[in-house]
Amino acid sequence: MQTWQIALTNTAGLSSFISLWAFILAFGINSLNVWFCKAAKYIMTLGFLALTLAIIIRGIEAQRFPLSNLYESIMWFAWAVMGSYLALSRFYNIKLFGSLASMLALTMFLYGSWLPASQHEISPLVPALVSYWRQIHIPPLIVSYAMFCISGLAALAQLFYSGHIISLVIMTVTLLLAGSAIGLGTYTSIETYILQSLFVGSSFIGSYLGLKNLKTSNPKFKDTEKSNLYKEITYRCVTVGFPLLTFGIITGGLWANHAWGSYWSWDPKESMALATWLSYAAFIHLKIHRECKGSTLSVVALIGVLITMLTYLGFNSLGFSGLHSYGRFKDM
Amino acid sequence: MSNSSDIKTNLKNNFNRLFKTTNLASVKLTITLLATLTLLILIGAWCPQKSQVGMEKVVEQFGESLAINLDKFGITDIFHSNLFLTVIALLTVNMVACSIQRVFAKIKLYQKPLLFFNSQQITKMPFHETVELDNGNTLSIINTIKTKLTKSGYTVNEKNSQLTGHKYKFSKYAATVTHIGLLSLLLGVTITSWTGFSGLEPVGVGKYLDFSNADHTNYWFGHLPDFKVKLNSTSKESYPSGQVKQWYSNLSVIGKNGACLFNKTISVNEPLSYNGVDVYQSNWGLSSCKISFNEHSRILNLRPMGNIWAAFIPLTSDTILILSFKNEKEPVKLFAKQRDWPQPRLISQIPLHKSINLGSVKVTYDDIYPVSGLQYKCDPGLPIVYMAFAFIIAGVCMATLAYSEIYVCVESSSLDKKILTIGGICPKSPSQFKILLNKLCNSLPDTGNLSQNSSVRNEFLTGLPK
Repeated sequence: MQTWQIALTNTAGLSSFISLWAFILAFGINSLNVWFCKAAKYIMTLGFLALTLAIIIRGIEAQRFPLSNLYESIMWFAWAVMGSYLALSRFYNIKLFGSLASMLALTMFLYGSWLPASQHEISPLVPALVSYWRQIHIPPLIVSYAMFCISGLAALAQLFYSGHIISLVIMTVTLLLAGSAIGLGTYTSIETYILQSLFVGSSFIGSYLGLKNLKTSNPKFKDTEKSNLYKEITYRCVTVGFPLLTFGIITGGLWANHAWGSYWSWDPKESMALATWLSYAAFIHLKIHRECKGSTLSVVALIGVLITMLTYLGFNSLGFSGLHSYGRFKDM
Repeated sequence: MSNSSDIKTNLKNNFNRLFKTTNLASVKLTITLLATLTLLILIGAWCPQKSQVGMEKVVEQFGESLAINLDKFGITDIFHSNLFLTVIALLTVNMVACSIQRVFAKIKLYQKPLLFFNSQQITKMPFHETVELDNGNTLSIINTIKTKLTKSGYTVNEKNSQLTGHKYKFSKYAATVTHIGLLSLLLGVTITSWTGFSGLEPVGVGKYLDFSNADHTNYWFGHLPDFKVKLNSTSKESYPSGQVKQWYSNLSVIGKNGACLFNKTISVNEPLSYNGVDVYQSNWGLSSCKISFNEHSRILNLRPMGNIWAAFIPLTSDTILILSFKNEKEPVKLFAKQRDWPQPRLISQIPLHKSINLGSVKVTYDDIYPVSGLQYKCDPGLPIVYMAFAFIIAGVCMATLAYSEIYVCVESSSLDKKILTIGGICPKSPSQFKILLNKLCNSLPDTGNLSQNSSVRNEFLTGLPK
């Protein structure tokens, strides 16, 4: 059974790699654009189905709901990313956007596969996790994080098509630096204060510069129709992710009240989830505020992605502790 | 009657003037406060909070001088700092002001039926299409569109040659419902802080939890319960690997007259609830043991050492006897440790109520005393908080749906042709709305030559034509 689960997870990882290349070829070879895009989508669908089966088999093997450690949550995250893209592509003509979704799924597969072997193994649950609330509370949160990351990718595409290339480069570099801090925190033993400084420093400077450089745009890249389309996708992904995050936070509160007698205790992970919720609440209020431009919304969505990254992966890799420390796999 | 209506109008005007002059209902203020709160919460997540883990943990993490500075600026207890409480208070005022001025005020507006517009008014809308139809009668065109819109989930109204439709109208109440939820949450939390209490106590077997050390706020109007909770027994369950699986405690609620009112075995995630008070299994441990040496019994305190508990007895200047307990059922393991030994050496083990001879000393394992960490709380505001949670979830779910309005008008042109104008708004999903309009026009019955003029504004405007 375990061999099947590994084979199916690897199939999903490989399919995200192949679909990424198929999307890249679609960019390069104009005459075969449609064919490559179709092939890439089919390959991603295959990967999505393989990963769905892998998660189910892992659950059967573990005889519990398969979402109890970082590795399992990453499988869910990659599943949600692939599923979200496939769902979005049914409503929107966003074939080439699939390359970004494939890249994100592939990054998560690589991140998960390089985790220590203990994470890949099926281990027993600690008392706090032995509850039906686990399957109610965690999946919506993971799917909401995936939706926010997809909205971030759409925000990058919006910045590109609105001609804000400098802001696009700045925000991409910022995301990469923040991601590097998380990666280094996961796989190396670099001092946590250095990694925290890298994450926070790059996020603050990048966000400030990203917003500041919105005044300059390059008309060569401007495509108003596509810019509006990606603005809409950014917003729609947030409007799907936001209720899921709300549901996840509230059910977490109900679980905590059921288990510990307090629905809110300002635990770092709780606080971070609330900070993510507030940042997207600000995004939604900005969208309602009519003066706000699409590109400003995109940068705010990307700031939201930085906070999401901190909440989801930064908690374990950047040295935070608290009631949710059972997700941790290395001593800080 | 007119007096009360005057008072109402005056009150409303005064509120509006106040909100306008102070900018309290400003969305910009909301965004600024949300951003500030996000930042403060992230700082609170980064810095260990002394109210939760103690100042020692802050000093351990940051060093003494930095910890003192963080404490000076209120960062070590940021969730109780004046700055944080001020931001929360301002956000509450802003939310109340926004709700009164904008959110609740729109409820009446949403209940009004959509107005019928002529083709000129429709062409001013963000999305509109004009189709020239050779033949066909107005009624059949309107009926076709009506059927198609109804099938797509629209609620349709028609008047002669005009038609209006709307979909997911209830999603317009999303902000109202969410704001009601957030305000109810604040109310529930306030009620709890004024009347509720909580606490955590380690309780030994046969001992009572009497709530006398309960924590509550300074402004408190509640009362402590007149019953006690007795710990009858407690146990630990482990996986074969030794990892803790679950802790259990059998509890009895004892009334004023000493009668047992209720009994339940609790575990983590399975609390006892009685008369508005909940008792939770928070942690578990072994507090002490009773050991006899040549029939002289002694109570030894135990120290937690990861998954085990141990007692240390110095035998000579460089030798100690270590008693190691895994749980309340398994035998005690006896180890000896000398200064020059790298590890303690297992000497023997004694099951409960049994004895062994260590040289000339008879050692008896008489008893073990587990202690159950019981957390308790009384939360009278909880029903309101749960209702608030339901409102918030319903509100944000409603906001996911994309509200749209469609307006249709069929007019006769001078050349005995029909001009169909169709337009509308859909602020959340304009591209999908545009596709719907195109589909609608293309699916009209074949009425001869069909010329189409489509227009979509680049800048999306949500306002309706005046």
